[in-house]
Amino acid sequence: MPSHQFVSGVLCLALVGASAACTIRDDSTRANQIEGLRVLAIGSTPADVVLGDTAEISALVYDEDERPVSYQWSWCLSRGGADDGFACNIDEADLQTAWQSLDTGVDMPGYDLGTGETASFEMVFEPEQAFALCQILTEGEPDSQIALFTCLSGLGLSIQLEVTAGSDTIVAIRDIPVLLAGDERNQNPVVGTEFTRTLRDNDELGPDDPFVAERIYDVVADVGIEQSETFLPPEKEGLPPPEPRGEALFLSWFVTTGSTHRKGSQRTSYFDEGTIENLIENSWDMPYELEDTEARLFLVLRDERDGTSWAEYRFDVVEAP
Amino acid sequence: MSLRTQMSLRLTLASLCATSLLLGGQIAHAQEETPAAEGEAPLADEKLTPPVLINDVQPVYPQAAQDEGIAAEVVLNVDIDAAGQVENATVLQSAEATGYGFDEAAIIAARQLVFEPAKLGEQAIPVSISYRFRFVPDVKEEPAVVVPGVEKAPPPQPPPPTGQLSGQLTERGTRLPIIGVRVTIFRGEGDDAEGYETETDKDGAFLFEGLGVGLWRILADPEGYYPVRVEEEVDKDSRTKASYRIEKRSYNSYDVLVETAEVAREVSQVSISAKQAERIPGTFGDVLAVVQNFPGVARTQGAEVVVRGSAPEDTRVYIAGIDVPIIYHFGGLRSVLPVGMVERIDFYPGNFSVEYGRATGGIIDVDLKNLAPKKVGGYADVSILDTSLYLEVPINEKTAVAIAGRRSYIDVILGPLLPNDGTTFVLPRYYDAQILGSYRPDPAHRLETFFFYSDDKFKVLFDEPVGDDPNSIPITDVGFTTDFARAIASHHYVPDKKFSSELKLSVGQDRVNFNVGEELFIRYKSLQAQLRETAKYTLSDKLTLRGGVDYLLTNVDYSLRVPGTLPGEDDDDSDDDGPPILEQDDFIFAEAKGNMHSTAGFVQAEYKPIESLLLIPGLRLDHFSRTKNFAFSPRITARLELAPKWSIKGGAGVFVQEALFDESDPELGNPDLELEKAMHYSFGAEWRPRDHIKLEVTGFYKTLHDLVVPTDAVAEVDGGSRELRVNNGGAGRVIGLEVSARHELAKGLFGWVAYTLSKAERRDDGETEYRLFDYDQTHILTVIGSYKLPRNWEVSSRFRLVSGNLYTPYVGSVYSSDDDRYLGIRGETNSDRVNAFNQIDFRIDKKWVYDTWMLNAYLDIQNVANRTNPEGISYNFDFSETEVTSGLPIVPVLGLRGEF
Repeated sequence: MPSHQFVSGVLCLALVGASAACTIRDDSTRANQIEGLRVLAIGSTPADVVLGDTAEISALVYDEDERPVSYQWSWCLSRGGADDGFACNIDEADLQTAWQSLDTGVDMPGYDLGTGETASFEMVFEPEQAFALCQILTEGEPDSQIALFTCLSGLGLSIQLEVTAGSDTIVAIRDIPVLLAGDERNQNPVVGTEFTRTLRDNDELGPDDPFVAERIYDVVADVGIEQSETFLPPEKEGLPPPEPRGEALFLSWFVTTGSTHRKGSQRTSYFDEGTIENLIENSWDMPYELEDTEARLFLVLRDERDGTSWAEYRFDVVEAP
Repeated sequence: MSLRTQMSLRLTLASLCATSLLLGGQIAHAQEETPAAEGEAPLADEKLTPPVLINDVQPVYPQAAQDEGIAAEVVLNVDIDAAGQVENATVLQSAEATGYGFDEAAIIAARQLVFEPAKLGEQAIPVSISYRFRFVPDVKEEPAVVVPGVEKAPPPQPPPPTGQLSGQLTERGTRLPIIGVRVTIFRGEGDDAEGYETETDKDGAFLFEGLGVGLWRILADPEGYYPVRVEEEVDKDSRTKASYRIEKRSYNSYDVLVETAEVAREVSQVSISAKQAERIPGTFGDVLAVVQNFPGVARTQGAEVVVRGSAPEDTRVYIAGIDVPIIYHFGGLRSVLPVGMVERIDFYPGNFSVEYGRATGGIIDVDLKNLAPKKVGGYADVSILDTSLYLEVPINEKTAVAIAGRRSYIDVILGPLLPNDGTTFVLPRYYDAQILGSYRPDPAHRLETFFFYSDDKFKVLFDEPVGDDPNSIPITDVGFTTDFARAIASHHYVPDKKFSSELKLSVGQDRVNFNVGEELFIRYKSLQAQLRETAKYTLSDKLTLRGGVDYLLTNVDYSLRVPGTLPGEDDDDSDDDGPPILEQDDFIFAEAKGNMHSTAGFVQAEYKPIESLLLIPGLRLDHFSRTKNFAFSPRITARLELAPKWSIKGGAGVFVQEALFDESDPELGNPDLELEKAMHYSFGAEWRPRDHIKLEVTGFYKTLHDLVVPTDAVAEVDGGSRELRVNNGGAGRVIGLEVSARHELAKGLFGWVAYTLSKAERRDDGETEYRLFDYDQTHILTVIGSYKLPRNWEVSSRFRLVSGNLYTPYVGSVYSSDDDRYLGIRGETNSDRVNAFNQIDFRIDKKWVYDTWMLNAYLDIQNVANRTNPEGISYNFDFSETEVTSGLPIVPVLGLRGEF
């Protein structure tokens, strides 16, 4: 009887689902109380690419000690999983050989995208060509892992950034959606420069007013609901045909002093037909003991189609009277 | 002519006085305790049972005395040996009327008496008693009980007025009749003593007729009960009615031990009665939770049963021989059957009979209650988790019905305590219901019907969609409901000792609904029909055949949209990787409808070539329509009695099971999967140094083949390629040793020690090296003890010491800007282990017995030492720091149960 094993699996899945909805990791606030060397986001302009686009890629990197940071950019068509360290699993030489066999007349960029603070990538292939690449790369290796990630899941544009400061190194990755010409494009959402701070149960602070230690401030980010673009979600098997709706937005809050703690999460979110306040409102607790006279805030805004942008704010902090 | 005899018993250790009166050919005995003789100390625990006259011989009345109407009385000293035979008889007190030969007649008769020997405890002992013969000459209109004068016969008198005394003995608290108990009624002392004796019938009733009016003393001393000593007034020409509720010396459940009368056939089998199981500490009174304490069973946090290194889904659960989808409510908190419905749990960790199949791990078979109530009875059990009710009713001598139900109220208790933050929780709620019916038209036939239903629900609703991960799905609600029902009809037919048959027919339905928001869901519904026939025929003393068929039809209708990687494929990090990332692109959708058939036939022989050797070869044939697979599974077990208390046993066999439902689904997995196979080998020895003690050592080795495991492989299909997701590329091996010592209830003590030493390994697809299995636990030690105290107190405790859980460490991380989170880089699978687990659980029960019902209060404390036991490892946000996650702290559960 299949059902009893099946139900066991479902029970397991139910617990996973429940934890996904309800569990907040105890250390979640630590993730946004930034220390040491951190990569907070990788952005791309445009947010997605079609044939002929050049993606300008940048990163939001923070180093507590403000050490010199070195950058190493690269790209890849396919990455391994957690067991493989998320490393690129297509050898560059193999890719070039396969690409040349397609005889497109253009050069495939090398994996190395340089060591600058930013990098650029020129899109030279379309999704259909990616499938052709897949077939070539997996020829004679029907059970190779390459096949899994290419032929079946499709090739993508995966960017990797390795930043180093002193002895610390962080590897960060992000995918840039690859579209067909004529596909609905996505715009990176924008975080405004305004940032409202209000001492709890008191008046709003002016732009130059410092934070005071031990106090709790209600803060509001400058993100308008118009940043949620209306788009037609892709059709999904098993679900009713989608209708146009607003993008979901996610705002990550990173602070160098104190902690933000709305609902215990480092991120706030907005979903279509919800309220934008869920995204932009937070609270910021100042610490009892100041280690710095400056409080920095990094806001990273993402939409559900991988659009990303960020903003940085600096404020003075003073001891409590 | 009437002879009246009276005997008194003198013993070395205790002194009893017994009176035996012979009245008109009717023998009656009356006993009463007398103080211990001076200088003689009674034994504290050993009960002294006086000899009982079983072959009475009347002395020959001396003719001259009869002619002259002379009465007499002779007191003898009679020595009775341990066999109940009279060794010697001497005159203690001669007849006053000498010269008639009364003494001689008495001695001749006494030497022919035969007794059931006196006993000290259970041991027959020789004793000396004084035995009195009274010679009463025949007279007209002889009164029934009047002792005549010694010198000469009394003049005729009118019969004295008489009355009757009827009564009933029932067990206090349960109202069960006490059957076959000797009831003695007597009055007077010395020469005036008179008494009668009878036994209670099937209703516990007794009747004395023709009693002289006045006050009578009644004595009943049934085994295992406190004695009854009361006085009743018998009135002229009327019946005095009395009812006595006698309290048992102990209401401990262990008094009712269920021991299989049959010769043990299985190489590896552990059985426990429901009444024993519910008293195991740490199980909160749940009868099925006891399985985790058996040898060969790994410790898990939830409801999973991991048997001898097999995965949880490799062990199959039967209720009354019928497959059931689950036996536990949500999270393993409670099993779906209440204790009232369960008679016994049989657990087979390996090398099980061909009667069982479709499993490569173990078998749990829950035997339903053998319903034969003598009265309307039941219980209500209230604990902080749930309340259950049970009622059983005898309709008539052939028919009985039991009904039960249970409802949890965790939701009711915790609901108001949760914060009102825009989130609505429908906390875990479960209930179940059962109806059991039994009909025995005659001794050869028994018809049973059983219906049960189980329902679980859990839901979280959000005022607004939630989710903080750019690539995760927006979550509006999380819901999980599952319910299933089974209706089982069975016919047991045992026409004679040679043949027996058991036919079972079951129909049922399983439903599962699960969703996370709108995008992730599982909607599953299946209808089952199962037919199972098992027959046994004894050809000779040396050979018995068993055979049967088992057919299971499943009609499935499901649709699901789930992550591309199902739980189970990546179990390694599910506990320590935080909330999973349910990326939208990873989701796959599948739906199907259709019928599936699983058909099996089996036959086995129980062959005893010599009295001490039992060989059981068997063969099972399975067919699975879903995966289109056949399998032959030959198995054999053997048991050799080396000595009355020693036996050795062994077995080997093939076991198969079908791939999981999702694994063989064309969309979710691979429809071309073969059966998973296992070879079981075991060898062991049993030693029973005493009747209540059993020591057992079993070594086992198990190989697993064609295990379904995740794979990166693709298959060429119609010129293209198709991702297989899973294939039969896995393998495994398990080796271990189980040592157990079990002490059945004796002198108030019950318990067992079980230790398992094992190593379970798996080899993944494409790998050449074995790794440790996720549930591998090198050492598992379980000690359980229960002690019965006076006044219906009972204490029990459980100690467990188990190797720590395995986990796969993360050796680094990569920051994913898409998800705004770090992704861990996995190290060697299951290469680390948390510290060992050890825990003490404690339980105390107290029962108060009232006339018509009983109240039982229990306190079950899990982790009584409040030890922080490591269960796994969690990582911080960038996988640079670790923290040990711990199991439950001290958890006391208080409950009350009223039984009537």
